[in-house]
Amino acid sequence: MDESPIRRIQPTRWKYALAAAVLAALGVYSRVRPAAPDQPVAFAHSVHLKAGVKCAGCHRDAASSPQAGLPGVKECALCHAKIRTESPAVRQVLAYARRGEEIPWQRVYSFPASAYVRFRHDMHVRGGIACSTCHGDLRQAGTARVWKPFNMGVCLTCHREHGAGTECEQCHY
Amino acid sequence: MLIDLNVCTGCSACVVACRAENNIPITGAHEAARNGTIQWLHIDRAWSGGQDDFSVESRPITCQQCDAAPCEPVCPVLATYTNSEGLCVQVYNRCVGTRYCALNCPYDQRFFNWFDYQWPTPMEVQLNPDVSRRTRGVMEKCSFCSQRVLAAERAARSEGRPLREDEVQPACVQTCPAQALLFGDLADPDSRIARAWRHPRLETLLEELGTLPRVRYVRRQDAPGAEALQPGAEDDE
Repeated sequence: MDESPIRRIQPTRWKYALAAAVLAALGVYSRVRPAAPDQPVAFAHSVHLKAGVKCAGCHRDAASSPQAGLPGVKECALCHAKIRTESPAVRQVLAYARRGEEIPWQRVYSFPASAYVRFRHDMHVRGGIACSTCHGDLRQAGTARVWKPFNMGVCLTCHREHGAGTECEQCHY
Repeated sequence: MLIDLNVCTGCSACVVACRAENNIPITGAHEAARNGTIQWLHIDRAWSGGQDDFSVESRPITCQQCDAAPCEPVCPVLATYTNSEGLCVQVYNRCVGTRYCALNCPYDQRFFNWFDYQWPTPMEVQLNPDVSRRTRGVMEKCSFCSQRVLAAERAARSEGRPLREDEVQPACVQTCPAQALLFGDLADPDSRIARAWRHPRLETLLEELGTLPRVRYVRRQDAPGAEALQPGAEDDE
């Protein structure tokens, strides 16, 4: 019998190796596109957008400030005092409003502090970049999740395309 | 940047303004004793004359934003470079903390974060949100308040107009009560700074090293050698 080391590897080991490779791939994928964080209320972007609410209707600061901004619970309650009060999610929102408590929304997009990077919504909105370029088509989505893997390659590809400048200190300062 | 030593009184308002604007940590007495102070802008004092008849010259010293910056070629990760506007930029996220740049800076104007410095409550409330808080292992230095330059450029671009000359002022320039500091765009030949840049009484620090600093000083009128000038030669053209 030939005693080459290759033969010694049992078929089951290949299965282990395959499983490890799949897990590693999943790990990389989940790092690139993390799962949607658990939100306190199952907010449906799709329902609101299909009803004709514009992105800037709620994320009001997107054109004027670095942060796009989230509406307070009172603003939700303003519309939902009359609209779809029977839905369980809306009831949750109204309960928050009655308690005078803000909804503890979980952050979806964030950068590590070590990246020293600053993203400004206003410059992108004023530059005519559609919300869906980075956030995807939210008419198909419920709660928001990271749609575009956020890394410097993605940023730079778009910046080069639009001639938006690629100096380091433009974003890292 | 042009600094008029005739006008500077050494009041240190610029130093305080710089610290507040750029989230510069206070490293404490222990670090100060080990030359670990972080101070992007400081004032050097030079005394001259006798015991009874002396004069003191205060000279604000900051990163000289050299044209041929000695700190740049030694960085192994290109964390510092001269950008298209001629600014010597420090890119914090690239910096790995070799500290070669600090070794090579003849003006000693680069500062290393040996620790994660804290702002005890309620001091963190006064942190400038437009400037990063540098963490341990990162080199930092004067940026000519690049966040202000960027903000002004963004405002100008949004309104579709060129940048006005007086629109960008680093914190030190804005604060100086004697207006001893002048900041502007040297590339624009009509700007105040470009006209003042030809002043005959200008000097640069360690000129013999050929670093071509972009910070110049207007020598004091009572400084040695100043009287050798022709009368009227110090007037602007």
